[in-house]
Amino acid sequence: MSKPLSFQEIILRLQDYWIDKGCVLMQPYSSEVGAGTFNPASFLKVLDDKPWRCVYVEPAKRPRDARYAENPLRVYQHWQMQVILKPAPEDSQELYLGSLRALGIPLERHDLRFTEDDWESPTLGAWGLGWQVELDGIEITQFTYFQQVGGLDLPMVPLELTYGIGRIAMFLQRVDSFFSIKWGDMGGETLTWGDVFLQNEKDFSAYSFEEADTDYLRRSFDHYEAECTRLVKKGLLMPAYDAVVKCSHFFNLLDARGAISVTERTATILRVRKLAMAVAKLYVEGPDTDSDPEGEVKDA
Amino acid sequence: MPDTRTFLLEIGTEEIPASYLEPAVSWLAEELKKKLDAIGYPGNPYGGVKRMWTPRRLTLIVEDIPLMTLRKSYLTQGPPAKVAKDADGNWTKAAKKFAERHGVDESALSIEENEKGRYVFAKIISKEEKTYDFLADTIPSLIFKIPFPKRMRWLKYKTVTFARPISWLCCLFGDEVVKFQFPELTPSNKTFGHRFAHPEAITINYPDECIQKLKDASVIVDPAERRKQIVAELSKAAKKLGGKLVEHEELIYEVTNLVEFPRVLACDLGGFTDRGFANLPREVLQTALAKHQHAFVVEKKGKLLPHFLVVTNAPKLEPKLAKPWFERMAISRLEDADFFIKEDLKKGLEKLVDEEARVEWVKGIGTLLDKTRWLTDLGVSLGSKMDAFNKDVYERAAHLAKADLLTNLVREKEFTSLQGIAGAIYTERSGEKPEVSNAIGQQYTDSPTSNESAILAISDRLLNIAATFIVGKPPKGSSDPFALRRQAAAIMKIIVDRELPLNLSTALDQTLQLIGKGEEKRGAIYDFLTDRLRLFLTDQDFAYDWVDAVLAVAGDEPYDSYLRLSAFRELDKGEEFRLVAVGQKRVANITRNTHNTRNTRNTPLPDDSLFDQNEEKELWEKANRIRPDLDSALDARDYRKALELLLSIRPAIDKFFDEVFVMVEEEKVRTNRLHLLAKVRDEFLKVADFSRIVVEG
Repeated sequence: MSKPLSFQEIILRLQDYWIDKGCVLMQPYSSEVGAGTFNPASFLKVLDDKPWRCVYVEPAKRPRDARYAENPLRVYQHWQMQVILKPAPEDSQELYLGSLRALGIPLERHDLRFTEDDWESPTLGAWGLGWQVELDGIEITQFTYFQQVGGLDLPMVPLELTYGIGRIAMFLQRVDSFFSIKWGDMGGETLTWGDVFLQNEKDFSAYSFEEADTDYLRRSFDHYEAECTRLVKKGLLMPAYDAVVKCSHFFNLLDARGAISVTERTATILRVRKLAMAVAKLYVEGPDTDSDPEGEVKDA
Repeated sequence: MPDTRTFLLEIGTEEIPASYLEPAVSWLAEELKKKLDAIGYPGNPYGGVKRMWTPRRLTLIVEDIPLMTLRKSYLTQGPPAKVAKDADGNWTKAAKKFAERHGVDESALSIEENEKGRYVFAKIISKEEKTYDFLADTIPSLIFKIPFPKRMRWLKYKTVTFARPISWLCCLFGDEVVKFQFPELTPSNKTFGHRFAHPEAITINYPDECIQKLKDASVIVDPAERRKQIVAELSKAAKKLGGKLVEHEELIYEVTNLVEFPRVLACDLGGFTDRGFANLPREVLQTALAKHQHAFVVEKKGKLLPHFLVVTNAPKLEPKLAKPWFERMAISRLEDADFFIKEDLKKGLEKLVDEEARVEWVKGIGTLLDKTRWLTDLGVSLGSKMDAFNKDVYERAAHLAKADLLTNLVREKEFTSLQGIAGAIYTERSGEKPEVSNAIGQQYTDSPTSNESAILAISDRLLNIAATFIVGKPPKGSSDPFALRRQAAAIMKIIVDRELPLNLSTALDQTLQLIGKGEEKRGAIYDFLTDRLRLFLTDQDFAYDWVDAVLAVAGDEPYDSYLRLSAFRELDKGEEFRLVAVGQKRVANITRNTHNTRNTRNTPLPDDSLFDQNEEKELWEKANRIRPDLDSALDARDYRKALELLLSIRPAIDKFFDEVFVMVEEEKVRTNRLHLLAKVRDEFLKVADFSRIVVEG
């Protein structure tokens, strides 16, 4: 039997596969996000009616999932590989299965299923229909035909694939835990996921559950919320979107700290969604040149 | 015999959710049948209809459809008459357009009346046509209209939506492909087998070949056959493990719709006992495996074995490769559950009760803590009327009943169904009385085993119903998002099963009083409850007219209504009851304007000195004679006896009507006779309003 693929080889194989299928290689976003969908290469690029195909790896940071590195499958930060194919191709499922074959998985000898899972991101005002792809009971990919993003009906239906590459690595390397995954070789020495991230997990768990300053987070949320609204009015798209992403992360931290009651939770999610929708509208329609809310635009 | 062919339609799709499949194919079959009926074949127009499906295909076979449709004329409805004709009686533009749309001229138009009003109709004479053409015209629109809980777009056309993308269309009428128009797809005689075991296209020459050819390609398209195979394989695997399968009907239905070719894989929870899962409650284990892996469990002598069974969709599965992952994922879920339970026990439910104050129950009504308090007060008050009711047990159970909603376990998506059960487990482990745990665990069921459980289950639902009505979200038509109808039905069932002396109006008044609002909705809620009681009773196979008759006089206490109806059924004297009904209808008609049935206490006594016919005297004597026994039978709720007594005076009533003319000129006599009849009627009304029993012929 051939040597199992390392984590970095999995990334490279999948990237190569999708580049070969006409995708451009993007890079992770520069701010904390809970999912690859928050990257503007997904969130904004799916909104218009121009074709778009991209692939990138995104570190997904979810404070609530932090487990002090004690749970083999739940971590503060896991890795997603995100693929956007817009418009969704006719043979979407076969294309996807091709990527698993490219990793050397003999699909017919395993149990591979497309299990109903209608993806939804309330904070992004986004939803789609599709599946969780389960390989021998392991969820390895979220497979979604987006229908709405930022509260807008999408003029061209995109396919979003979100691979849980950590789980795929566990499967291929036959290891029991994210931390045992072989990341790659460094000068002949094997480096594992745990070597790089175990301490980070402990630290971020302590931060998410014990140390994060909730007063500061609340104030920051309010600040960036106001900032986003102001920037949307000015037509400054990306700075406004950065503020949405920040709000979302502050919310996730507050949630992990247990600082948000059930009622407040729904209300806060709605606040983020409102911002995401405003930015989506700005992207699609361009700046609102007719209105002159602050009296700063004067006729020459 | 006309020349016939068999029709096949297979809509090949990407995986459609399990719960969508059967309703979709059933709808398709019904609609196609309606269309076939509408084009009018004489007698038995076509043969059997086979409805089949897998996650990747919706398949319909209709046998023996004649090759030609019949020529026939029919009327089709257009706009209302007032829009179709102007003041001068001429056809309007709207009417002309309607005619044009149906390809007829004005002479084919007429105004007709139906139950909705007057409309313009067009007389259309259909041509005899090839069934092939009819099918080619009809099928596409049927496909687009199949109802699904959620639909999606995937093509550039905004209007084309379906449950999931359509991959292929296989459509045959006999050996001929039905080439209908469809966006971006051309119907053919090609289908596809199992995705991995047989990915190549398969040619279907005749519809009849379809089932076998698919089977050869590792697809069992008939769900009944798939199900049979699954059950057999599961039972065999369970036996091999030395136990027996724990039946789970819903799960079997679901997995049948998740696979094209089932193959059961037996897995082990290795290290099950080492890791302390033996302490994991059975319900938690079962739910975790069912929800997450769609897996079945195996028991031996009432104890779960450390194994589980997965129904895979992999005909060429290599068990050695697949097993470890199913097991690892299962164990990881159980570890999660174990973690949640330990955390929850550390915290304890009592602390969570305080936290209920921070959780909204129903917006505008109150917090979860409010609900807990109302639940306690309402139940104590309802229970106080019962002999076997332990107030302390109830209070403790109600106090802790809702706290499990805030536990880590129940807040996890796949364990939400354990609400109540989780509470029972936690209270049991923290040393509450078994009766308390029992009540908490049964609060969401409709078959509680103690009065405390029953009152908790009823009070909870009463509060839900009242609150939902108050915030203006009662069930409407087919929409009942909060399942209030099911909750009301459960209330009735529990009351009757447990023989509870509960009074709907008192219970409702107390509920509204506790919530402190909603007085204006009382009428609507009360009507809703009695309506549900009526349905509950007819569901117990009591004839609806008997139910009407009983509810007219005794609708407030469900168990009492039930007892009365049971007496009717026990006596089983349908004919006799009908005869009584005939008499009582006459009485009701004759006394309608003079003697109120609602306030029988005010019915005046007849004056026996005014009786001048034997039949009058006899009837009055008989009525007087049975009254004491009747009343004591009613006190003892011996409705059988009461009915027998009433039946015994039926001949006297019939005789009265045969011989005595009531509406005589002389007012005194007439009034006296009416008093007499009303008094007799009142005796019957003590049990039921017999005049509501339907008399046929």
